[in-house]
Amino acid sequence: MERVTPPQGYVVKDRESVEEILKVEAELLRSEGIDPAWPGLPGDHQREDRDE
Amino acid sequence: MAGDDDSMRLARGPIGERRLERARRIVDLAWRDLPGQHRLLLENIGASRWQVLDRPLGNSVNDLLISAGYAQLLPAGRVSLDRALGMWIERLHLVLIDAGHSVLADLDDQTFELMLVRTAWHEWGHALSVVRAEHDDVAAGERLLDLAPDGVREFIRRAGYRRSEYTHELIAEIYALLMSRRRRGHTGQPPWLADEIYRLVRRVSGWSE
Repeated sequence: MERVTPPQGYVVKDRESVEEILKVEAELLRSEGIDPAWPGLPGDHQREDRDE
Repeated sequence: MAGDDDSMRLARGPIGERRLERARRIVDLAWRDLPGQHRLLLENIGASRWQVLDRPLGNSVNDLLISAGYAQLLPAGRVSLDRALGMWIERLHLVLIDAGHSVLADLDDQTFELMLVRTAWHEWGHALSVVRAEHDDVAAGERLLDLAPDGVREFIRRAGYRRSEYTHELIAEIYALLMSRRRRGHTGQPPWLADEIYRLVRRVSGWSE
């Protein structure tokens, strides 16, 4: 029987890593003058309802 | 002695049907937000199916592989996969996302959404890289990583990936960042991205914006 070796996947070790990922993204966006605030996804009525 | 599933249950609780449904909706919307050309490409390489679960990925992948006629994963491999938020299993043509992962627990709604969207975009970028990157691209992983933005490079190094996965992880991360940027109305090459990496991501993902 064939054994598959899958990739390691998207490894995010801990909560600090989550904060680091989002911080890096925000800094890169800010560095070129883009507002890092998350605009949400189009068609997400549930979020729109929540934001109101 | 507790099994893998038992030990993970101690470290995490069920996220509840409502949050799981929300997670599935978010990933569906993230898919629809991809450029149409990318969706077509992902369909063609067998990366357009996904499951959003509330279960560690190691045992989920193991069960899926067994049901598809493959040998079970070694226990160490299963434990290692449990650390992942998401993955694409090329052999099964399936993206898996663990919405109940311990690092997502107790996140506020917006951060939970952001991390799920990011994970989905990362995995689709990863799938494109695995299928479309060339041998030389993979071999150049260490050098390409040196060209990456500092924070991205450090995150990939710290996560403990094999060197042979550096290129795929880099492309996946940059793809997620480009999508995030596009969501905010910005396209083209960002000033923080090295020419060589941008050209590589364009070639592999079909990015043309």
